[in-house]
Amino acid sequence: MNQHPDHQYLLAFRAGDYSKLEELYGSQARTVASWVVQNSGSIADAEDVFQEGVIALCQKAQDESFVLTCPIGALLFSICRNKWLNRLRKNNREAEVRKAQAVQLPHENIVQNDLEAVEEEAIRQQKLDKAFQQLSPLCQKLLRLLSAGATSQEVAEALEMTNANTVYRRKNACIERWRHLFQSAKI
Amino acid sequence: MQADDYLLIEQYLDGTLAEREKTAFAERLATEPDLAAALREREAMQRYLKFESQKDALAAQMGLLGKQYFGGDSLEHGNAPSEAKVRPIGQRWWVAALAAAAVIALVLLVFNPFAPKSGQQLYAEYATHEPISLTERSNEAPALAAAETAFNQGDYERAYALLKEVPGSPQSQFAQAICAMETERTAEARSLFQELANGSSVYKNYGHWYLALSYLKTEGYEQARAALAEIPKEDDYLFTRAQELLKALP
Repeated sequence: MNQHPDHQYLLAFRAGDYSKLEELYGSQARTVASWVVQNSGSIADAEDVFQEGVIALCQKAQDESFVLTCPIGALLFSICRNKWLNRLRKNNREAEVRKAQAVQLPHENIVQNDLEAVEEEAIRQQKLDKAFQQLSPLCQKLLRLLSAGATSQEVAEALEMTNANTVYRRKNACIERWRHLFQSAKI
Repeated sequence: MQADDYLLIEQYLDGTLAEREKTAFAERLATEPDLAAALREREAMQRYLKFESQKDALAAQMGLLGKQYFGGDSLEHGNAPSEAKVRPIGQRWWVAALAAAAVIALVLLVFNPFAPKSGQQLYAEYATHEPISLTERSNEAPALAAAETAFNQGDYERAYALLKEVPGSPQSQFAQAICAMETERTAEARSLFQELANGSSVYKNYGHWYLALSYLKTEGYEQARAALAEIPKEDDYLFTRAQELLKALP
């Protein structure tokens, strides 16, 4: 599949530039809000799922191997729609789910692949988050510092460790612990 | 997977492997799915940390935009929305009814669907283009296949450029006209739709319909009405939509 011009949004998000978000709000907020309201939700519900949808998109944007192949607005709408349907399901509102699903969306087919990729990543990241929160504060701090680009020496000083070697060993131990927690996590 | 493969992965990602080791590692990746999976997992962990460092900026931005586009605080902490949360409708049906009324009032306040909508809004609502299929009846043109893909992905600029190169069947002319309209080439779009509307192809009624939509874009409601009136009753689908749109016109 070919890269869609909207891929540039993802590149901006990956670089931490969220100024383009306004265009997405401008083009999709209203659509999502009226769809959620039509399907038994409130405006506040709509904003909730919209924010969750944006977060899922921005998370997937971090994946350098991901190529957007559909319009980003249509993708965001589908993400939000599924999130709202899941909430309805959780509340045992199957009838409303079926009603909503009976309506075919114009972009349903072209967003399908990207939608699955985004949703898979969201689940993975949620599990990683759960596992990360169980790490010791020291591990969390150390991994954050290294990820932000601090050198081993700088981390050693910040966390009062003897030297860069200690940092290296601690880092590997933290990663291993995180991986173990992640692999045994259930969602 | 061997015991120290995880360390190898760290070194690979840190870029501290020597050239030869790197090549050897890449070769192993191709043949050892376990190793490849472990690398992908570690990359996902890196993404987590990177995104975590951006989360505050994102939250701040969403907070601002949420206020602007969803009514923000007043909606979040007001009385109505909390009553309107999803909950099963039980015996206390009147609570649900009140809540529903509150939602409707709120929606009216914010969106007011009964206020006349502008042409742009109506256009956005009605101009949903069905996917096209240009290639089944033609084997001559890879350009057509590419145009079809671009069109169905919503990339009208690219589809327009491709369609301009191919001699027009009514079908591709129709697609080209939609592309022209979506890329602000309104005059050209209109003349193409007009041609279809005057013709006798299956796109005749679509010609009228889209001509009307193109006038919505520029708020030419009289012309839009005239075009909609041309759609005959026999065309069930478009006729219904046309009547609906006629009612919604300001």
